[in-house]
Amino acid sequence: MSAEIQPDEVVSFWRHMQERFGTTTVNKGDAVEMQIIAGVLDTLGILDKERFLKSFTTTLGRKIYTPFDVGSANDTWDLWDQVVVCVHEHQHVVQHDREGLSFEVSYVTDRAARARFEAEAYRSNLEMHFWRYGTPARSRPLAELLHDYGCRTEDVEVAAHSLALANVSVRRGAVLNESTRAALDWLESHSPHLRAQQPAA
Amino acid sequence: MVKLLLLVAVACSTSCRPPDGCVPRSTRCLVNRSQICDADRYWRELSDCDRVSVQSGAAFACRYIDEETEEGRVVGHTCMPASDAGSEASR
Repeated sequence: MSAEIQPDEVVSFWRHMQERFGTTTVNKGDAVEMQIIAGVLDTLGILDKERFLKSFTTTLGRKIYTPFDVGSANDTWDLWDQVVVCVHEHQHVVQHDREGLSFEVSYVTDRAARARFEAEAYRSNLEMHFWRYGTPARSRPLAELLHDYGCRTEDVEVAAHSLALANVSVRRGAVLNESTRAALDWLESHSPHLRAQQPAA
Repeated sequence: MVKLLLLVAVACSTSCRPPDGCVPRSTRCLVNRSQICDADRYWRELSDCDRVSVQSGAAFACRYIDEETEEGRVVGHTCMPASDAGSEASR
């Protein structure tokens, strides 16, 4: 049985990640730009407006738009989900820093690139799950989410394969993503009780 | 206009070269980095195992694996502990 995470831990964790990566957080429902993007996606038939606003966290540059108030669980986002999505979104910030302008351009214009960037960020989800529960997360459902991002079936298959390979590495102790390393550094020093029980040596 | 040209240049730099011609989903090790062939037949980096080593606090090397997992058989190249010296490491 895993220990429960507390709201103040989630708030402190987000603060750590924001300071580490120089990001800010905005509630998605309060952001005019997100309302506009939601309307465009809805009009183009890509994604339902309500779903975009309530189910998706979005990162633009160093600004992270959340469909929840950090530290307050709601029907869609429990407290651990908020921790995991924080790590996932900060890997997009790592990509933004690493790739420069081509990250944003490729993400919008190239479906294979979008799948690749998302699959990389989903590795953080796998890593966080393994740290918390001590068992590998199922990778295929994460890859299937890419259909919601306008990716082709063949992009999803490549992502599924890359995530399955990542899961094997994670199970052997690999920390693949920079954002996960930053997250685990904080969690292991501030909230070690959240980690899965280690088997006795 | 300058911004538009810059965007086109950036977009071209990422997608205007001819495909590598690899088979989608195939993987390989290149030095100590794992790569996967994407749906458009370009080789793309999966992991830099040197960086993974630093982040993991242990040495990792790019290796070929063939493992049964909870989700089925996983075959390909990924970062694995360098201490796992196996007969399939050079495939």
